[in-house]
Amino acid sequence: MRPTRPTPSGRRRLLPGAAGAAAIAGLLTAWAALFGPQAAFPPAQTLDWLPWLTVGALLILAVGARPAFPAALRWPLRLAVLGAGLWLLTPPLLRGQDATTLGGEVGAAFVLGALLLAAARRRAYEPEGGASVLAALAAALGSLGFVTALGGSLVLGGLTTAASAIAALAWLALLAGRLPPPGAAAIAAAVAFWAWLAYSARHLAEIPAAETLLSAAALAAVLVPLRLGGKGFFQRAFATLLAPALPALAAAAVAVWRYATAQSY
Amino acid sequence: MKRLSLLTFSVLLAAGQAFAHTAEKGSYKIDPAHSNAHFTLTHLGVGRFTGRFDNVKGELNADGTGQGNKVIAEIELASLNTGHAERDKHLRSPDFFSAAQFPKMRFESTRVSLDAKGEGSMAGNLTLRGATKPVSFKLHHVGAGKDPWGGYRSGYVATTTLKRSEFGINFMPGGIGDDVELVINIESVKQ
Repeated sequence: MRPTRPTPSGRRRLLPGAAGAAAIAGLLTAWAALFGPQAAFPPAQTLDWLPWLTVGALLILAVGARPAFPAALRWPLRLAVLGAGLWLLTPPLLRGQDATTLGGEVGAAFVLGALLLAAARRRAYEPEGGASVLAALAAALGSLGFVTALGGSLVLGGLTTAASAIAALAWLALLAGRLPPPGAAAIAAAVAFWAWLAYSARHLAEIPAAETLLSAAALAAVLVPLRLGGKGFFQRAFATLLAPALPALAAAAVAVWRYATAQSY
Repeated sequence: MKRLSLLTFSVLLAAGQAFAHTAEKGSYKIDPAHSNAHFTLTHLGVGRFTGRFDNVKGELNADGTGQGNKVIAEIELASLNTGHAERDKHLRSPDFFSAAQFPKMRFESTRVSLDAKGEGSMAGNLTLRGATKPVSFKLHHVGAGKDPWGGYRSGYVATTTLKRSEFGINFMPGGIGDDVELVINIESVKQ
């Protein structure tokens, strides 16, 4: 049976929503700074869709969350938003691939995503689990951002690094007791965003599979059991970051080695 | 060895004598093995930098006078080659060409004019990174004639200067020049 959290009250009830809004605002600001100068409207490349889709999805989901909205239509609405997002953010290159590659990539992504999501959601309900998830997200996004910037695309790497910084801020705020643990929906959205960034890095910026898998390993480090009760801030920070930091650093090291040994021809 | 060199020279000489500045009327296919595109732009405001695309395909129709020729050319962006693998990856990325999503640069002519000396211009629409813009090339007809294998070939050089920002390629506006000189060398084979 899944443990339940105590219901927050008063000001703390507003915190998760405010933190989520701040995270999204931070991401959109990073997108505007990095992609703004070359973003096309109407959107041309996949990455151009990100802000419009985010704002549109939030508005639609907010309408769907109103008490007056028919309860029976809520899930169809969410699925429609998810389907539209996948269709717009899944670039034509996936549609153009041969069946074997496509099946392998989609299958691997689905299995990996489902495992990570289930693990992350479970950990979020455990004591200190939220800190583990946020540390793993910060490390996974940070390593992905670094390898993408170094070996593929500076703008995509910059956006991924900005997402990592937001996850790191949330992680530190949580460890300091200034933020409640993230909810399951927030974790699902964050893991899905990592998956989309990893997919984009892999296909749009040609990031090698090794670095992408090491970034996934950093996220999967959330499965490492931790006992943090009674420890101080820095000890808990070190303990939650240690496991995801190892594969993240390995990814960065491989990327640096690859960059340093790249040959002219 | 000496005999072989003499034979090669004779064949080339014989083929070269047939070259003219008006291509025979008919439809032609661009020969990717003997066609390419080069681009040059400024780097950091202090130097000029050149890269090339190795895979140019397409077809053209010659009307025999050069005035009514029509050209469709496609350049595969994955064939970009600047002599450095990591830089090529960066140029193919969403920072520049976004080649995975927009794999080809396509040009379709709307008007071609060539004089008797093989000089002229070519206007048309260039599609790059999802944007289609009108572009005008300076056109030079290199020559036309029979090749050593019994075919008939016609070659052109098209030159223009584009603004990359017009195609949504705005990355590093201070470091990489906006003006891109594009030279397309085409050798086509009559079908």
